[in-house]
Amino acid sequence: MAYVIVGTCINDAACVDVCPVSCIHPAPMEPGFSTADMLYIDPLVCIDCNACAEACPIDAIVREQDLPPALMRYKAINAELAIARARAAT
Amino acid sequence: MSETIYSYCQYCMCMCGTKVVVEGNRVVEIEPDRENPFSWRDFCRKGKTAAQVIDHPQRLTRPMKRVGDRYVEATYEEAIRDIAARLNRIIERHGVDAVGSYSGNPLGFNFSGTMFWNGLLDAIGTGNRYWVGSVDQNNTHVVQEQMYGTELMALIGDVDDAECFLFIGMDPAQSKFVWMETVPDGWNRVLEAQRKGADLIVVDPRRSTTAERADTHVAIMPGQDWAFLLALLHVIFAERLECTATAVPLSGVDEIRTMALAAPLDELADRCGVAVDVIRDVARRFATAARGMCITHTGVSHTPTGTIAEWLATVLNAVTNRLDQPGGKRIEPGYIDLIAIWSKFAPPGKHRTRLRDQPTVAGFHSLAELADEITTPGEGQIKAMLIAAGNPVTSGPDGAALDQALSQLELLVSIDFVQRESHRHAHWLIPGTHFLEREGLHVLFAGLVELPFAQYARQAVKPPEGVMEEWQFFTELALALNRNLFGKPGVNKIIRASRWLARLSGKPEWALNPRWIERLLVMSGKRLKYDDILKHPHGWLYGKKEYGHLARALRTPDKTVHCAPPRFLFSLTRELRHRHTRTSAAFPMLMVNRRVRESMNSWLNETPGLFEQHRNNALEMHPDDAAALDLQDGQWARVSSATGSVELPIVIVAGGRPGVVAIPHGWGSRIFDPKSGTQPRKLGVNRNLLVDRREVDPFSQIPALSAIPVRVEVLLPAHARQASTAMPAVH
Repeated sequence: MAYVIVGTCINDAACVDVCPVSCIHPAPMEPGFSTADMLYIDPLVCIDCNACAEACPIDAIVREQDLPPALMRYKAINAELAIARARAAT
Repeated sequence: MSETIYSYCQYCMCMCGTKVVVEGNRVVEIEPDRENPFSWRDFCRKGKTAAQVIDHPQRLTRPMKRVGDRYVEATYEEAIRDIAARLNRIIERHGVDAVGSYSGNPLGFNFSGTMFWNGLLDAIGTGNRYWVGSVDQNNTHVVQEQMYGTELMALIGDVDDAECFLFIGMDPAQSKFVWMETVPDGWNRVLEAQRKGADLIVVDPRRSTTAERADTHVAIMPGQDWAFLLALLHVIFAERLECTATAVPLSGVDEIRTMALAAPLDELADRCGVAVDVIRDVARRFATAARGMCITHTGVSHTPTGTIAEWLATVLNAVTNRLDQPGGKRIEPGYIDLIAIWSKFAPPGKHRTRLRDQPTVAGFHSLAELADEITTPGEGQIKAMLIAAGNPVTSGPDGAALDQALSQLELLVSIDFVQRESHRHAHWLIPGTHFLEREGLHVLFAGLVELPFAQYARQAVKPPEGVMEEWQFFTELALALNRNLFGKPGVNKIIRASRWLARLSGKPEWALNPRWIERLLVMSGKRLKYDDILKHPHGWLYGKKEYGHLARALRTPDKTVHCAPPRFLFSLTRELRHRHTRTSAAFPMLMVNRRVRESMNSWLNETPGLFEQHRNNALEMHPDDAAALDLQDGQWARVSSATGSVELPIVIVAGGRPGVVAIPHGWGSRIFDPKSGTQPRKLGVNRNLLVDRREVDPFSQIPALSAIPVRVEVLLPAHARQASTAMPAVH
């Protein structure tokens, strides 16, 4: 299980600062940060610590299990963005 | 060339497995060790930024000696010779009790340090020993001693199988389900159980992160947990919801039943500020759930009636058959006989304090007494203090009084990483080490972890050149004092002989070291082999979760759980007879404590990577109270109690109980730089300056760190600016 960033994300990167496993991308120093529509959480690296959800000023980070049906698609969006990043790196 | 070392984080009881990448003697990266079979999912920024602590700009790397108003570097030889000579002079003139001691939480995670610290105190023979447990968990030790017959029988929540959670004064969403228990990933597992239908009831005056997820949040009156628990028992007994055939034999149930039934429910409800209907509902849900647990943590222990409440919570678990049952609270036997060994390390002391005539709890006296024991003249007055990995001025009550007391000592020696608030009057500053720089097997934790688990902590980097580990310093000091380490005749001779042999044979491990003791302890348990533990770098789950150990482990003479210890009954009767309101016109609000994950265990909050968003603590306030005082978010306020006052910014938090404010502890300690003598640094304020050192729970001797009557006043803008920029006043 993991946390999921939903579409209301405003890219303020408060979550990036507090993540203990650096699983939120793109971080401000990473390519694509300035043009990203939203940040995303790599579900394979996330450890469910809840730090990002607490830091998010607009409650745009939700525990996967708590996603309401209307936001469920963001689970796949986060995972796909993470896979795309991993592919780009290899 | 980089190297990867697997170990675990030793800041808090989560014990998260860590994967530490090292290059040369420098830590490059710390990550959770996902191959650790027990714990890594609670990994947080404190573990992540641990290496920043090693590089602390004010870190001590040489003993520092006070000369007038400044410090000069010295060698260990000079430090040990001088400290030993001064201690011996003080002992000869005033007796052994003239040497006092205090040890803080980080020493508890350093098993070799703990062993040899006790060895040093035994060498000196002093009874004036104080420790951090007296501002934390002493109430559990007292209750365990009275109910189970031993001070160390920590029962652990069995979260996966529970169908009802009743959490009182705990915030596992922040604290990660650790205290006197380690349940890895515990909070997420509670949420998982809840998703499958388990009932989550959270009792907390604050709207905590945990309370936000509760099926029912009971915003109780601070300090009245005992009344709430007694009310639950009243309903359970009145409605015959208790279990008559419990897995563990009980005694004294009739006495507690009589007392609970005699207490009027509406009066108890009024005391704890919870409606009778809510009490009935919670009691029924808890008692009728097939499996469940009531757990109490520091929100309860920090109140003046924390012991009575802890007792009633244990009775609640006992009479609803939650002890040693799936989904309840169970005991993990571990791989050593923890109870026997604990009694060796913290033997039931016969020593009583000079002024208040108090006994020890778990082998140590209460920090609440320390200041007076130093300042009050007479035979047995403390003239010298040794402080190991502790910051009692910040952690304890009325730090201003303790700071004043420490300034009067003939000798103050601190053994710590940096010079902190409590060490500002120190005559000697002795460097400490970081857990990344140490190795060892913490055998005492074996009985506090949820599953049969053992892990040898590995050293990632070496301490700075020339820095002694704590156990080495304590050994050298005992030798220089010419008093036998561990207080046992011949030990110093054995140490010298072993060193001689080690030198002669070229085998340094032949000289006495902590590994000898760890090996002996593991061997004495007859369950595991020390070398087998070493073969599991990620840690070793050496067995399965079992039930049925509690009845055998009981140390009460009749082998039952005592539900009605006479002294608790007596105290409860007195509590029921007297009704006093804690608040007054002068101090109309109650202040409570709160947990912050990155600040567990409230040690070195100034690490730069820890708090990127907020670098101080704040006063949390209910919107109604803020409106009544015309206070805005972010404004500065002065909070005063009968003991002291502090100034800090306000955060308005919706939910929770009006009339209650919360300030996290562990902040406001200055960090000095003895090398350069530059201005000290400080983050946040020390809210414990508001805590009275004289109001203590009579059993646990824990001062009332919560439920403190306070007044909040707005600071005018000009005043606030001054308060936020000015250097802290010297308390």
